[in-house]
Amino acid sequence: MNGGALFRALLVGLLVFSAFTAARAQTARAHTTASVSIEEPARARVIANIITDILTQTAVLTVATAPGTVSSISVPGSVGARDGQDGDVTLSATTVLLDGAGGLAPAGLSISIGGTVGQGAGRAGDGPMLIVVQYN
Amino acid sequence: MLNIFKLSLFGAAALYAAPALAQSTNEATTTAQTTIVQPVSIAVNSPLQFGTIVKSGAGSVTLDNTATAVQVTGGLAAVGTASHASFTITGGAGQTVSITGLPADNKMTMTSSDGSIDLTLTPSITTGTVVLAGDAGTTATQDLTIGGTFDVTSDTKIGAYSGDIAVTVNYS
Repeated sequence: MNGGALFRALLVGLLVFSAFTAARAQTARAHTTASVSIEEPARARVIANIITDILTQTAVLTVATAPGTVSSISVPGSVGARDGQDGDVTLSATTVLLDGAGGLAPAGLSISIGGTVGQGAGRAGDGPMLIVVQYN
Repeated sequence: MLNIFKLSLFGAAALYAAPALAQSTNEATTTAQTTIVQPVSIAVNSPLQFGTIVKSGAGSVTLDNTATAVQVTGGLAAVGTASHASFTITGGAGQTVSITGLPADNKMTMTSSDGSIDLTLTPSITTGTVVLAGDAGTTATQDLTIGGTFDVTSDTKIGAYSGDIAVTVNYS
């Protein structure tokens, strides 16, 4: 290899090295994340105050759920309180506590309950009350 | 005698110069050139967030690469804040930038402590390369946004899922 060929070979090698170095220096990288939270539908939590006299008291209920997802809250069917002995009281409740117009569950709502005194009048009783929360 | 010496000297010089006269003169011209460009860079502006999906049944979740609202089908409801992933690529105007790092089929997995979700990414640039638009010698930027879509089945567990998105850029 004469001097000219050697020079050209060195020049080509230098150019290849420079290009390789430059390409490596021009790489940039960025990281981020993809995320999602899968949840069950919010369950309404209902808290009623202590009713000492179901015939005259107004039960104050608090329904807590995710804002903007509720179209209605209702109490279907009858509500009864049984004293566990020989009588019961049938109560009535507001059938629709919240319509879909507002779309928001209130922090607290009240329903009036009352009914006919049965044989268990004067004694404490309890019974289930179904509250249905309808989501959009 | 002196003349003979001069003649001999001339002859020797002529003989010595003869090879030089026999060589032809070769000359070649080339140029040295280079283009100085700033390093290419990429910055994250926002992650790919689907927010909270309330699952009452199976369905699909889609977030477009230009949208900020999640679209759901079936027994799903979307609540909370959502955002598509957003990157800004910065480099020399006129340069071609290759974009790598995303899976070839744009499919990745988000995992939680209790399961996984197969996510299909929808990047705004699908060709793998982009030419930074602008006047030569100036700095140019290019947005890269990424949305995604996935299915929620009856087997999808409740929980927080996440996965890593890596994007690499270089001049090509």
